[in-house]
Amino acid sequence: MPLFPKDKRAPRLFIALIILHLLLISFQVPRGPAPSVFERGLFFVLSPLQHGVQAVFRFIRGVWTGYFNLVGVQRQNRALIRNEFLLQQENALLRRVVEMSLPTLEMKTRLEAVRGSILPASVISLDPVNYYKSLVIDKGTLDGLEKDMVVLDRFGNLMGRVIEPLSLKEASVQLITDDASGTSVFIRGEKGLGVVTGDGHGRCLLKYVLDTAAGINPGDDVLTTGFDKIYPWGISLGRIVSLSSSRSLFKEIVIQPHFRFRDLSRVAILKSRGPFLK
Amino acid sequence: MRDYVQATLSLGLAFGLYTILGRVASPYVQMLSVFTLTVVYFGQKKGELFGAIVGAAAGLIVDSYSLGVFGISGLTLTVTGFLAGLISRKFNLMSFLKTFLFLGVMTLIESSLWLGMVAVILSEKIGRLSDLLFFRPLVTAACGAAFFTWLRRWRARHG
Repeated sequence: MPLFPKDKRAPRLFIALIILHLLLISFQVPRGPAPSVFERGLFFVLSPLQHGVQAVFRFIRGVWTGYFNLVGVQRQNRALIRNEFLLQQENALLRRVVEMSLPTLEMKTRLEAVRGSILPASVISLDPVNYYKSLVIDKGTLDGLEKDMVVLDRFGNLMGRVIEPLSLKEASVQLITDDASGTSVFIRGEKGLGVVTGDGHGRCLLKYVLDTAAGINPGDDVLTTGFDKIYPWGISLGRIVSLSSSRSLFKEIVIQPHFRFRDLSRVAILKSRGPFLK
Repeated sequence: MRDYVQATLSLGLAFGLYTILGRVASPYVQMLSVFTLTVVYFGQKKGELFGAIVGAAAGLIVDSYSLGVFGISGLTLTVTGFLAGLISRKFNLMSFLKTFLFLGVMTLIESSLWLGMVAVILSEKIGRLSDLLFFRPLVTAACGAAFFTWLRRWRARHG
């Protein structure tokens, strides 16, 4: 049997497809800051389809959990009532702390601004090639989303930022666990400054902390500095899980992000950084 | 024409399945490549030319949802679809074991090509990628062989 079929069209078309892909790749290397028009177009066409699949899935789950699977609803309700009570107390306490440190008018303005600047969204897709790099959410330019808006998990921990491509009702999010990301951070207690990047395995690496920096321990919290002009000051990012001294100038520090990959159903987008400015 | 409609519907199904798996099985979704299964299926059923075309379309879908260089998955799945058509003509793939081996080899080729291209084009170290990716050939082959065997039996029973 011959290696290639007698039909000459097959190898010719195959070679044409290969050349087409190689051309497509070569247009992007070295990669520019923005995705190509073709990539944007395909995202624009495909993302509503995925949105639809997600909506069907959500509807089926809604019918199941809302009408059939009601076991544990009462227990869940009790837990929510208790949680809400605790949050109300915490909110009142924090309001008092803010009142003590800020003039009344400024405090009111800031609290109102915070409320108006948060947009909830649902995750509709994860990066098919590397799960830890990016995801797609169900909010887009029609909801006021723009590039570089900050994305938080449901507990207010940093997850990443909105990147292109953006469509009318969908947007891509680059996660802090992406090894091509970079976030300016400090270790709580003014123990050191550095830059956090992803390690490609769901954790992050804290770079450029001098080997001579003292008092850094596993368990220390890492927060954003705001120096990168993308993430506002003081957002909790993760916790140090290990650190070691290398022969170089800097320590090798591994961070476990606070957001969990198993709990990505709801995320919050900060539409404005104003209220969070230090 | 019917083949193209079938392929489009299958890719849509793979796309939907991928979305649902991403929500319910989170990181483990990387271990099962539903797009590779679709491409290999059409390559095997309709020949290398059709396999390459379905591979190119599937690759573009995958690329549009990943942050990598646009075209890498398209290229690897095009090659995979073509090779699936070419290799499957030389073997009888009627048993579970043979289908399993065939799918395992095809997914391994696809993953190796992808990893090689990522390493060359993006200068990314293979060790920095998720460990779950290395289970992809095994899991994809097992799930694919089970599904295709079931599909064959179902067709035999229901004509």
